[in-house]
Amino acid sequence: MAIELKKDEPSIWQIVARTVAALALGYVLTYILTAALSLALFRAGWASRPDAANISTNLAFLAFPAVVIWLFSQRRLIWALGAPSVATILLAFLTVVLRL
Amino acid sequence: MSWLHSWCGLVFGWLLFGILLTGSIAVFYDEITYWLTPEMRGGPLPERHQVMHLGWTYLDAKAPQSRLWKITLPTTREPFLGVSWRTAEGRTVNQRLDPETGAQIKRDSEGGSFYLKYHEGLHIDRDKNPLGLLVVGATGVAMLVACISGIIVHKRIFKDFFVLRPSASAQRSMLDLHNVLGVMALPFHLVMAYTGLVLLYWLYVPAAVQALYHGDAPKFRTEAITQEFKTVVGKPAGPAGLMGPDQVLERAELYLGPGKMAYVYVRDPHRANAMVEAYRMRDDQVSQQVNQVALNGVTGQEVRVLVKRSLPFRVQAFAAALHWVEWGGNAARWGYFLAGLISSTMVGMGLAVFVEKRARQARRPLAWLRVIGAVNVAAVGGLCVACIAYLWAERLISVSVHGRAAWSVAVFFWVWVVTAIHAGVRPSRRAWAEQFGLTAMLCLGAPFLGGLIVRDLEAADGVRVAVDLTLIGLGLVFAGMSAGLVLKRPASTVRGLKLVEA
Repeated sequence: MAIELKKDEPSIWQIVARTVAALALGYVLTYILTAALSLALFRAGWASRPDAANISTNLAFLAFPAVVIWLFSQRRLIWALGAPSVATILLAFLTVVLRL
Repeated sequence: MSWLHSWCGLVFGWLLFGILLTGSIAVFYDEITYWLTPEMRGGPLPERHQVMHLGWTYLDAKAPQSRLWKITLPTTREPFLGVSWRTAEGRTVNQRLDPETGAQIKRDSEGGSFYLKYHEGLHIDRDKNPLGLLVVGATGVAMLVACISGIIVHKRIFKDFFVLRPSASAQRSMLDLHNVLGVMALPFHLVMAYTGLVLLYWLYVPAAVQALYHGDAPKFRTEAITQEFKTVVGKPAGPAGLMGPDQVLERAELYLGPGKMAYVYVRDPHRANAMVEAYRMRDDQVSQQVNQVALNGVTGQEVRVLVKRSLPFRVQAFAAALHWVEWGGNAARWGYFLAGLISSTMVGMGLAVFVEKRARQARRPLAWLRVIGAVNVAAVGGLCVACIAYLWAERLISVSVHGRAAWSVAVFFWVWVVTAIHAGVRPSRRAWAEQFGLTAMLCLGAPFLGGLIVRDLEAADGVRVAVDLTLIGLGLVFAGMSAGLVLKRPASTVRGLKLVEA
């Protein structure tokens, strides 16, 4: 986590890519995580439907800042963008499998 | 990471400062409404049965055919009787009455809730356009990001907490102050940013509602309540003689506790299916959870029984209450107010450090930095001026003016526009000094508009005098900041700087 970008001011394209990813990927991952978690909790019978919605959304909020921090702490752009993208795709797959 | 903290802090800091400042002011929104409404009387409240009677007969006379009444009993913080009813066209009419005489308080005003509306959604009506709400939500996430990245950036966080170099360079001392304020109130920053999101979680990320309810948010909210309560079907009602106000109050407080009913809805009054829903006050519990009792309007029998509280909703209600601070009385409100001012100052200092640091490194004027500096002044100084200008507008616009509430709001935004222009044309340091100076004058002047403070002192009205004194205190602080900017030369030009820094 503590890996810093090498120079204080990275190249403009790095900045644009990471900023757009922070906003878009951050929200999409939070959204998909909420959906997948709520479906999993409800399907597994661990929570009632409203409880599942409540628990999943309030936990998933924490994913948003975590993704943003991740995106700016990784030196390699491919790894910074790749990990949350793969996570989003896997969670999206899970959401489709579990959908009501 | 340092880059993230600087730029995320800058862009969202412009929004965040206003959200934090109005949030801090909004802690006292009831007191501000009271201060802005001379028609409201303080002092001991009339007996509750008497007030209940007053509201009941008022609604019976004004809206006997309505399908929904609401009566809000006065409290020491909101010393008026609230009545509202739904018209045949489905519109809701709200009125405030004097709890003693029943005279209507005809003052078209948002009062202190103006700050609340700016805090939660930049004063954009959330029913018409959710944009304001979403922008504030995004700013909440950005605040979490800024807090976490700030901790990572700051390697010597504990040691530096005890470092304050007021006589060092402007950038150094501002950075020290930014760090001290940031670390001192760090739990507050984190908890407020997170609980602010938890308050309206299903609006910010509607994914679960989409996945589990196919997007039907009302269905989700209904199910959240019905899973905790069971509706008891009473015997078919006899004659449609509605309970009287005394009976309603007494029966409701049998369940809610004596003196604890905050407001009551009467559905279908004077009909055989009349129902009474009474809601409890929340001043003695750290929970936003709805605590209510539903009674048959004719027989007075309980028609809805609490089965079991849901743990996730209890946790959510606790988190929401941490943000709403209806508990804890004045001590908690003052704590939140001061902590909120610390947060606002931290953000303002951070914005200033951004410009100072880069200006110093560049050693020559940069056009883009000049623009950012001007936006900083407008976002911080301008918002302070606008917040206090709103109080002046509320004080000065006559009660008879049509659309009065909207005029006061317009004054807030137009004053802000003017301060932005001022920030654009004046040299940065002068702009800061002048806008803080104007804020100081407006703060100091507000209590004297119409000789108000004299009347407040004569009436020994504790709440109004407290608002007056708070304004004067804030005015002095702003005057001090303004004078400091005018008198103290930029530290970088002070000779012997090396000695100070060594």
